[in-house]
Amino acid sequence: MTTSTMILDCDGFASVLADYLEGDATPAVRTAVETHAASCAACGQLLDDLNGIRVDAAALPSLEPSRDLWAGIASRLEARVLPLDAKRTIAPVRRRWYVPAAAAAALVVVTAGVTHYLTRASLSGPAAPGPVVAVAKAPLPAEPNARIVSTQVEQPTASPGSVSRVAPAKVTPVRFASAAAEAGEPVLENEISALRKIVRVRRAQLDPRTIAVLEQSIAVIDSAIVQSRAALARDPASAFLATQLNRSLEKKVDLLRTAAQLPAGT
Amino acid sequence: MTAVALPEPVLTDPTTTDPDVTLAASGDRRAFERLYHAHVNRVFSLCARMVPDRVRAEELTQDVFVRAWEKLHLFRGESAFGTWLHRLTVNVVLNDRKTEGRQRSRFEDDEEGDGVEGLAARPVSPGDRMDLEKAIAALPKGARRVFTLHDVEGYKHEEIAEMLGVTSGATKAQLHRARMLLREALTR
Repeated sequence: MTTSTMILDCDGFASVLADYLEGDATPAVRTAVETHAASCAACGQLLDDLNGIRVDAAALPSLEPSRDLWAGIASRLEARVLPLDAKRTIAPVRRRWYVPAAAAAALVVVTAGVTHYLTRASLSGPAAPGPVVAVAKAPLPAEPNARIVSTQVEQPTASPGSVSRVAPAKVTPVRFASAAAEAGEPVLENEISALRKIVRVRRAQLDPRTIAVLEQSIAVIDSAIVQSRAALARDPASAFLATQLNRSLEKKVDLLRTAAQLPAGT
Repeated sequence: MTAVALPEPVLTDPTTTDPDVTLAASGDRRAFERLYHAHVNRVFSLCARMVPDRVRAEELTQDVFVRAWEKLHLFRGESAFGTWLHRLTVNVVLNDRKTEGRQRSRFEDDEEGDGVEGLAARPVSPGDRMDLEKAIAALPKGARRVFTLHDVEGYKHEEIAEMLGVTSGATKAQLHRARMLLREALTR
């Protein structure tokens, strides 16, 4: 009995190589590929290289993040303990006013320390590679009872791969009428979200120690926010608790705003 | 692109489930932190190879664990926790690409247009031979995704095709393209 033998040239070898590597080639094709690879130096080298890439890829070691990511995860888990749209009960409960008060006190200490740290770092740190954008000062509110509860943020534009060229954000406070105070929480949340995006873009420009201090402080503030919300859920009519929650959110805005304006290298 | 379906709930066999998984599923934050430390590098590795921007990869890693915490009650030990988490990671990364696709579509289209010449033309420091990690990062998006899932992570073509919402023939073609591009980049 005679058997026909398949013979491949270099073009034929290239056309069936993918099937051969995936194990999809028939036995006759496999034999032809191996025969040609053994007789053709260039195709033999190609086959060896591709097999080597497969082996090397499967053996690539695990990569490690450049920083501990748990703090950021934990703060996000903490913030989700009480959903914003959770049903608030008005059942009589013992007013634990000291919980948010203690959180507020801790907040003041932490944010004061962080502000001091960031300010000192920005004064003594290396100069930014590009021009530093001045922060525009908005006029003070004309109405005595008006509050600054929001910020117009000029987002730095950057492609994902060009983080290092991002300049400090220009942050311009604007006034909101006191009538907006009741809706302050969602407004502040939106502002926090916008500022977080800026800080995220600028992360690569800042000193890792600054980032670490910043994240630790945000975690403390988030904890205070959660405690204030929980207390407010038990006692929705409390103006004191509402004020504490608003202050915590404003502290977070202030901190993120400061971070967004830090010169590169701080 | 199609999101990866998470494992369906099945009965738990407590004798084979990691105690930390059971504890975390019942709300134990410390147990979940231990799971984080045990799995973070593997999750980050997948994110970093699928999304070459390391900062974004770290953010996605955090997203994965936040989502895992939210979905942990759905995990019933059908597979190993690591396998479930890994599938969740793929899901998060692919969904992220989907949501950002509109903003990046033009860039990605340009990137997909890169052939062998495109990859070979990527700048490398003089005298610094490109290593495999750098070469993978420089691959076009489609080729990089398939190569990472198949050759690095060990998924089968049928699984990758389901994840990406394409045919297994398409993933095979992308894989071969990726290997040829890598070979050219690594041997020039």
